[in-house]
Amino acid sequence: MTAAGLDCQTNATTSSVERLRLAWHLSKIEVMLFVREPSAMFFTLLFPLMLLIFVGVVYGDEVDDDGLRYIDVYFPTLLAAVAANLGVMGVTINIAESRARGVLRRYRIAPFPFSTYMISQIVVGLFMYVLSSVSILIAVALLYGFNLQGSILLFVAILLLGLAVMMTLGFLIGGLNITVRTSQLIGTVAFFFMFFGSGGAIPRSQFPVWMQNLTEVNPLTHLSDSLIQIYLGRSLSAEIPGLIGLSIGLFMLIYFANTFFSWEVQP
Amino acid sequence: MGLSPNVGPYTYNKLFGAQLQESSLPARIRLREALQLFAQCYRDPWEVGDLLDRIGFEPAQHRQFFDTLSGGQKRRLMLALALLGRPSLIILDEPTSGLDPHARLAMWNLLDQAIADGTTILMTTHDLVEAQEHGTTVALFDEGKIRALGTPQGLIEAQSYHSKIRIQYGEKVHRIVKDTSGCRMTRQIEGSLYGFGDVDFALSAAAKLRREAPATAAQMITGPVSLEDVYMILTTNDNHGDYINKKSQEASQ
Repeated sequence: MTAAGLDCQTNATTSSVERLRLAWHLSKIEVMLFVREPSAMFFTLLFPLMLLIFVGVVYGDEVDDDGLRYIDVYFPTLLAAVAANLGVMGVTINIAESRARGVLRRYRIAPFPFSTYMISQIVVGLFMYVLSSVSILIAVALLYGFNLQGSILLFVAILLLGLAVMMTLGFLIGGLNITVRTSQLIGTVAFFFMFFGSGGAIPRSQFPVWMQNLTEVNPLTHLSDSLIQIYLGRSLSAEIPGLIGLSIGLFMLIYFANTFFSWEVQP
Repeated sequence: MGLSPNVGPYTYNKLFGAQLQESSLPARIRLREALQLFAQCYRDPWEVGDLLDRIGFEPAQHRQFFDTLSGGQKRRLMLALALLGRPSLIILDEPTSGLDPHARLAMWNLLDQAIADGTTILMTTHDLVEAQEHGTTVALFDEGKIRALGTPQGLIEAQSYHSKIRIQYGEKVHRIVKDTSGCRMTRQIEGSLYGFGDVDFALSAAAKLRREAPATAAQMITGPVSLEDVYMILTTNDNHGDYINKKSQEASQ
C-alpha cells in the first residue's frame, strides 16, 4: 500500500465512538424532522388517545366475571398496539419514503453506516413511543386511575422488547427493495393481522381453536398477553416461551433487516 | 487511492465527495442543519456558513427548508455536500443538467474554484460544450464503451478538420457542400447534413449555399469543429448515413 493510501485509510477508518457520535447527530435531526411533521404528531399523540377515549367511554368501567375492569386489560393492549402501529406502519413508511425520495442514497454516500441510520430510527421511534404512551398513561390515570399491580421495571422492559421487535419488523419491510405503496400495503396488512390476531379487538378466547393456535405465532399476542399479566399482577410463567420467542425473533429480524436493507431503489 | 474495494463503501465513500443525479434530503430539513449533519462525517469539513455563502445562499436562506428550494438551488446544495469534506476527488453526475444559464454559470464558478484548490473532478455530462470548455481529460462514451480519450483540443485536432457546416439535409444541398473547395467529409446525421473541411471550407460552403440554394441558407450553422462534432463523427455508424470521405476517395484514385 502506498503512503498516500495508508493515510487515506487512516483518515477513513471510523471508530465505534465516532459512529455513535454520528448516530447522535442523525437522531437529533430525525427527531426534529418528526416534530416538524404535523400528521406524524397527530397520529402519535392524538390517534391513540382517541382510541382510548372512544373505547373507554363505551367499555372502560365494565367489569367482567373475574372482577376485572375492561380498561385494565385494554390499557396494556393499547400500549402494545401503539408499539406495533409505530413500528410496522410508521417505521416502514418512513424508510420506504426516504428511499423513494433518494434521501437514503444521499445518507449512504455521505457516508452514514447502516448501524447509524438504524440507531437514529430507533431513537425517533422511542421518542414517538414515549410521547404517545405517556399521553395514554396520563389519560388513563386521570380518567380511570393507574392500576399497575406488577413490577413497573418488568413492564417497561417487556414493552421495550416488544417495541424493538415491531420496529425491526418495520425496518425489514421498509428496507426491502419495493415501492412505497407496496411497503405501505404490507405494513398495514401486517399491523391489522397482528392487531386483530392478538385479541386487540375481539378476545382470543372467542376465536375458534385453530385460529387461537394460528395466532400463537403473532408477536403482538405475546406482547399484549405479557403486559396484561404484569399489569394485573399475575404470574408471567405461561408467557415465558412467548417472550423467549420474541427475543429470538428480534435477533432474526435484525439479521434479515441488515441483510435485505436496500439504500436505493433498484430496478 | 490505495484501498481495496473490499474495505467496504463506508470506508471508501469517505475519500471522495459525490453529487448524484437523483438524490434528495428530507423535505423539512433546513439548509444549515443539512450541512451541519453531513459535516459530522468528516474530520476537517468546510465551515458550514462559509460554504453556504460561497455557493450563493444569502444568510437569510440558510434556515430555509430543503423542499422550498428551486431545482437549481437543490443542485447547488448537493454540490456543497460533495465539497463539504474537502475531498481530493469529487464525483459528479450531470451536475448542471436542468439548470438555467445563471445557475449553470454559478455552478461552474464553484467547480472551477475547487479545481484551482487542487481538487480532481470526475464528472459525467451530456453537454459536450461544457466538457470542451472545462474538461482537461475527456472520455467519449458510446454504448458503454470509450470511443476516444484525450484532451478536448487533442480530440478535435485528431480529426484533422478545422471547420464545419450543419444544414438540413437535401440532395442539392449535399451536392453543393461536398463540391465546395476544402471539403473533406460529409455526413447525414439525424436529418442534418454535416460538412467538415479546411479552415476556409465552412465559410466557402455557406457563401455557395446562399448563392445556389438561398431558401436553405437561413438554417445553416457554421463554425470551428467542436467536441460535439467529434462525438457525432465518432459515434455515427456509416450505415446510418451518407458517408463520403473525399480524402480517402482522392487517395484511392
